[in-house]
Amino acid sequence: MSRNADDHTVWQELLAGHALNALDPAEEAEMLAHLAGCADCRAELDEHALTAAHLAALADDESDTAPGWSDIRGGLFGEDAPVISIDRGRHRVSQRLLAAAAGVVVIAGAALATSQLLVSSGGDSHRVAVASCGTARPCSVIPLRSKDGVHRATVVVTDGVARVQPVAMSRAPRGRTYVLWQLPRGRAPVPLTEFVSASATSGSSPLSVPLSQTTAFAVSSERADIHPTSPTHVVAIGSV
Amino acid sequence: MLTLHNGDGRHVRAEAQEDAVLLREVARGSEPALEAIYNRYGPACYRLARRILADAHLAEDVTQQVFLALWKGSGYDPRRGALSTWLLGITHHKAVDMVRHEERRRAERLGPAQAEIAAAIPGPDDVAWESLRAMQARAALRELSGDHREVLLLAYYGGFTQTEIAEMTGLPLGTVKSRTLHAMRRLRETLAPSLGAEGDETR
Repeated sequence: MSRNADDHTVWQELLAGHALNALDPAEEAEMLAHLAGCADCRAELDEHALTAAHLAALADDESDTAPGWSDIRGGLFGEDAPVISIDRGRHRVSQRLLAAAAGVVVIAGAALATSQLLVSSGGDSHRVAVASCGTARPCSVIPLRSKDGVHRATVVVTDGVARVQPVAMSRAPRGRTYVLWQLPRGRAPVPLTEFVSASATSGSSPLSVPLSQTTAFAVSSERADIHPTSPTHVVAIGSV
Repeated sequence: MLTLHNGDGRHVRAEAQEDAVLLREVARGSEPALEAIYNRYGPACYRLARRILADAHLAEDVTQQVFLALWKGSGYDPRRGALSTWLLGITHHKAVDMVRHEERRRAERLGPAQAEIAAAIPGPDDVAWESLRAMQARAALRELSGDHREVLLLAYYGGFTQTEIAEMTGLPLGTVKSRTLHAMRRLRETLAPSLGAEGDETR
């Protein structure tokens, strides 16, 4: 089968099928041949691959226990293979390098943890939030962090009511508002309250489900004139 | 748990750097480095394979094949995306290959429930962002029309070719192809604002 090289829509359709591994063998071969010479298609394929990976996220159900490394390695190296670093003839594995690699991981993790700790403990707003627990019992304090690990806000839950205290957030831009979301376990997120100000304790709302059935809280930035059904631009999130 | 590199946060960059270090060690023959990568991404690969194959043993076989490919010299190119994206793509490809050799299983497990993907249950702190992605992906799927969602999920989770989907649904093959393209693009558009710029508006 041959395609009209000028009709790129046809290739784009094939590309989407290719990204989902849904082409018949003949079309798959045709697509692969075209991909080799089409940089635009390779770029779009990378986008499709990322989108497909998000579909994979839906399958990542932690209640489904995955095999451990010891189960997997038997199929790779044989059941009786010793658990050591393997010299494949290029050069022996440097334990020093491995330790250095592990150090990168540990140091990076430690740096993140340290910065989180400093931000968490250093913000007056956070202390205000914690203090607002007062003598109330039970009182839960949930820090919400942005993707880069910065402590942006604190949620305080007492007597089934959630309050959000911004810690490191600017005032919402004109035309936008912040929304505090409760993420119930296994259910759609629920908007609890909206706020704009970044300083004062900003709004409170009864929980939609008990805290024990809550996965996380999140703050998102939303258009002020729209009531979204799920957070669209998440600023910070914290698990319960 | 699964991490996808959409944003440019320091945490994500640090993870990519760690992946790069580990991959270099794998290339030098370090099993501990391979184990570290497995511990990071293997469970997500296994769960995707299991979702497609509906069989724990076959899913484990697929997961072994994926990490064997990584061990043997993967062909992974970091310029084209994150390691997690590549591993999940390979997993999907191998799982679909396997499911097509398991026709009976496919017929047995296909049903309306297959299209309703179960919720990912988040765990401790560090997985909150990742579980949010699953939630957002689910929300993005809901934004698609039923027709578009159907062709997408039959292909991705059912492992059916577009020709098979056309036969199953009675749709012309061209319609299946155009709906697939539209669904992928729409999904990407819906996901983009929520995942591509997380945390931008806080300063």
